[in-house]
Amino acid sequence: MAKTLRIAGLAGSLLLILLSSSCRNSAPAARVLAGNMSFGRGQYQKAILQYLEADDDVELGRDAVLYNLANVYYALGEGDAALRSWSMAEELTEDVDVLFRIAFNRGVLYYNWGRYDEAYRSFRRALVLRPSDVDAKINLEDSLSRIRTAGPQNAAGENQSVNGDDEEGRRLLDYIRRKEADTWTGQADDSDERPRDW
Amino acid sequence: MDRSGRRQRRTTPGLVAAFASLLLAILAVGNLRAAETAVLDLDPDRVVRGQRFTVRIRTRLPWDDEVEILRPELEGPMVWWSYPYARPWRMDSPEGDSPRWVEVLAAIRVDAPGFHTLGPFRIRVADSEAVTEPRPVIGLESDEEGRLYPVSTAWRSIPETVWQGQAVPIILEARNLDSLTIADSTDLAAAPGGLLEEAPGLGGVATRPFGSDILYDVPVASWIWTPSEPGDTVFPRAATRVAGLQRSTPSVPISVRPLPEAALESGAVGRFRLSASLDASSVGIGDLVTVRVRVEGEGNLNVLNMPEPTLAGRTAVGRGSSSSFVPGPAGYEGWREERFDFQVDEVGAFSLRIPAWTWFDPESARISRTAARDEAVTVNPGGGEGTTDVASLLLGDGMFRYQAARFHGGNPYWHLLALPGFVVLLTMFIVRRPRWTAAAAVLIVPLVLSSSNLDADAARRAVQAADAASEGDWIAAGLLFDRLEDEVGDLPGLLHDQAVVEMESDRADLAVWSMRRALHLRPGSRRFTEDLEFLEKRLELDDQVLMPLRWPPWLAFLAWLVTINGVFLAGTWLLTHRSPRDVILFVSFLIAFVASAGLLTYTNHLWDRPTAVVRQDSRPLRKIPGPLATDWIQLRPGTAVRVTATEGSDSLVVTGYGLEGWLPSASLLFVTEDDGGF
Repeated sequence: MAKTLRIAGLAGSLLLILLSSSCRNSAPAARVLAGNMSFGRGQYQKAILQYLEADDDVELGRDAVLYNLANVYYALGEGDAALRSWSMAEELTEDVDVLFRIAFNRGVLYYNWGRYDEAYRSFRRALVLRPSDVDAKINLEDSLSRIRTAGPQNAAGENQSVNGDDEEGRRLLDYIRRKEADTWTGQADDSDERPRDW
Repeated sequence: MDRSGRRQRRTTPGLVAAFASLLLAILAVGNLRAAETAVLDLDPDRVVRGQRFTVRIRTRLPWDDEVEILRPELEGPMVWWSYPYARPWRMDSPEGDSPRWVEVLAAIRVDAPGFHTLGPFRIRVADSEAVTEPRPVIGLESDEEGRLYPVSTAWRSIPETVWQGQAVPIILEARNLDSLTIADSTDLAAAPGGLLEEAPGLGGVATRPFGSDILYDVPVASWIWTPSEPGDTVFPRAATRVAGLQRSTPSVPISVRPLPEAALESGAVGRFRLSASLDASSVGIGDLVTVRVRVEGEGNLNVLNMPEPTLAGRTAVGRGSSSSFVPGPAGYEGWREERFDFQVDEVGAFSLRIPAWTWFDPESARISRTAARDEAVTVNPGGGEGTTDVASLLLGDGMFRYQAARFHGGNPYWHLLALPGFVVLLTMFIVRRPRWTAAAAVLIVPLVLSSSNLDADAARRAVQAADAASEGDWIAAGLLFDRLEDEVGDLPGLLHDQAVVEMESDRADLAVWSMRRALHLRPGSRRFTEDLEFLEKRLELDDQVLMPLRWPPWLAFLAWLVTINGVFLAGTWLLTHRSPRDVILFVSFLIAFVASAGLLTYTNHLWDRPTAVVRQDSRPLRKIPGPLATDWIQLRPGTAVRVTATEGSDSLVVTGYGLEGWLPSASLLFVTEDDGGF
């Protein structure tokens, strides 16, 4: 699981801003770009400042700014703040890409916290948004596997929350397994033309 | 006649010797065979373990049925697969004649990787002989097919005998790498007895040429091993994955000698120097007497026991330690310091005893020892030497000499100097009209003197406060200074004295803030700088951020004024004189002016750089701003930080040792405020 877990890339969200930016939005977009570079270099505080500056000025694409900011929070181990920022970004956006990334990263966070049922639901939502994403599928499978092996101590609480989805989840898992056998070789092709497998 | 006779006597033996030499040379040449060329080829030139290579030697010896081959003795893991034999070979020539020459073939198996040497072959036909040069043979491991050189791992200079408790550096290296490569992993088969610590960075990379290539011996893992029990032991086998190859290094038997009994108590093995220092030999009742014992040198600084001082038979009420040592070829190199705090509640003279200390030098196998030492400590009913020292830091009425620096244009007097050429004119006036020097000096006086409106009442109160502090009444001193502050405001000298009082009142935050604020208002003051160092050291605040501006701003401003006047004057001069020297002078002043303007701007920039001090009741440092952030690290009160940004009610701060995080602005005492500047 750890190998497949990832904070989804930041470039896409930046492009969102740049593409949708007018002249007034170009400065915040540049700040987001600078923030992404700082984040990539591990300069998290600098990245936070740049995102916050962008957040103050941006009119369009605030969802992407908040999403990026949450990623830095996550990288610094501040999970609660990351969840809060992702939620704010989720409320602001209708963009499927941003929504997918938020759901994916939220799943990663829950998984790392050991809250596998919530991780499962997050990856499931991510797959609803982007059915062809292989990493999300793998993580979903891993979360389900963890839920099953979690033992009696977790069973009560988790079963209540997952029970409703359990049968569906199992079917989904089996289906994914079968599909994976076909799609592993072509996973680089992530285009939207692929038939939806959800 | 006599002369010719002497010549003849001298010449005769020379001729005989020359004749004998010639004869010997002819005989020697007669015994020598004609040396012929021989070309030796190995196929392949690199051999995987257990495989063989073919040796082919082509000579220009004419073919004969009688060919004598003297083969070399094979060394190491090479064995004859097929002994050498001769056969004829010929090379077709355009002329049609194709003489037959001698060719020798042989095959050799290589049973181990490494750099081996194939000795010379001697091939004789009739009176002719051909000799080959020695040739290196490269053996490769079975997983190295296609590689150029055999990669192996080995212990670098591991000792056969060590002493109990000795810090032994152990380095595992990968050899014969054709590029600098880091090991993917290194695992020891078992844990050796004693203490084993990883010591990254130990040992350097060794290089050596091989043909046109450079080969590297790279340390892939290193440890400091401290065996605790004497006897025969084994340093375990190591498995290393390097350059995509799996290599194993065999275990090594090591004999651990018992430490001499005299050194068992300290357990110190190495070369050391012991020193001890007493913070104050005269203290007041209840004050702490701090003794610092320090061991410097190289050896097992990590585990040795340091001598424990006693004060009049009492043991320490508190202790702490600090150290700085790094792995080296003789164990750990650096220092270790133990701090012992004693407290005495009765008046009198006491003896502080630092016991004898013994250590063992493993190189010379000798015991060294420092003798026991006694120091006298006096406990007074009032304050000790420490309190006296601190009170002497106070400026008293001298505080009024330390006015806030007027920044650049903020000082009205400096406007006079900004007049074009004023400085130069004044200088010329003084140089050319010596009798008017005094008059000119009068012009300078108001520029040099700062405004001094010393209030006699305020001065008296300052003296009273200093006196109260000298008598140990720091509370009264503090009250007097506070009253003074209401009158004179932000005076650097007063802030300095308030800092001393706050230090004595255990308000580290206010003490550091006041002293730093004083230095901020009067940058570059040597007195303030030294007292800040003393204060922070006493409060045990290490690695504080430095004051951003450490020189007086008037220095930069003066340089700017002088150069701007120089530019004006040189420019005026240039209107009437156009010699190259005048142009150079003008350009030089121009460059100096630009440089001084840059310095001026930089000075102001440094002065404006925000710094702050962590309050006594500060919240813990956090990694992110905002209410959802979790607590991370609690900074000590009085910690000086650089404020790099502010977001809402939070400030992003950086400590002197590079820790970066967020604090509520309310948890900080800001040294820098809106104090003017340009």
